[in-house]
Amino acid sequence: MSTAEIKSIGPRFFKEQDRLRGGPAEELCASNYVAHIGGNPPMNLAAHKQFAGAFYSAFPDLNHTIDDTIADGDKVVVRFTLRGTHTGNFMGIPATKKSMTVGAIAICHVVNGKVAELRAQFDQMGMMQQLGVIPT
Amino acid sequence: MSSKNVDVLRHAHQAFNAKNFDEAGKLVAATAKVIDHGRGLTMSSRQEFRGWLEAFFAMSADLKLVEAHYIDGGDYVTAQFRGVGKQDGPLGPFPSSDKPFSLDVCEVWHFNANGEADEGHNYSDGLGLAIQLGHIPPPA
Repeated sequence: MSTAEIKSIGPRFFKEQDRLRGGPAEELCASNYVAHIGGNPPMNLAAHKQFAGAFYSAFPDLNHTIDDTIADGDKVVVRFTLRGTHTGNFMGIPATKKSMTVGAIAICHVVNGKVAELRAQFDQMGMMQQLGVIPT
Repeated sequence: MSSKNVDVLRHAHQAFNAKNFDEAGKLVAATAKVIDHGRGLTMSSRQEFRGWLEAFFAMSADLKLVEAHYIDGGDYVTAQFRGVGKQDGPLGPFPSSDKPFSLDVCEVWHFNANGEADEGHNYSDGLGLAIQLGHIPPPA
């Protein structure tokens, strides 16, 4: 695959999640897919789908805005902004009706055109503070 | 073989570990914009960036960046590393816990033609850190 093709997978990965309101899309993930997101335990595709589903359920208008995409070899880095409104139960936190905007980054390792590994960080503290469940 | 920009960033991280903030501060241009997304902070100059670096050691005197990996995107360099240490000073509103921590960090830096970073983004899991240190209970 060309660098341009690998680079295109990064934004697609997240835009597909917005389209599916969950995901990630199976066709973009390798069979041995693993996601490391924040301090959470490593997740396979099924676990990541469950994790994402909880987010889209709690934030039905959740969307990713891609800020930057950088590719080098078999890695693609995506900087993005997550926005959503908390209208459903989230990790035991009842809906606050508040909006949140947080920065995030993901590094995808692409093998044979599919994401084999995702390492992501997002501002979970900022998210909880914007929801008013952790003091600033 | 890594690019010059990767070498500059690696050198800055090594200088940070040596608590040489003047040297680490040379990473950025005089008017660089650096955003700490994990804490909602924006630095708009080399001087503010230097102060941001130094402040980490008030939280953890033995803080070290370890296991750094760099992704060379030409004008952009991405770094992945862990910050490890013991929280022997305040972390925002939280007092010293005297507990060890390991914090995953990602950074993206954009370099100008002079080989100085003019924009940087730092991402870390502040919530996970507060949970690790016992300041916030883990989610139910």
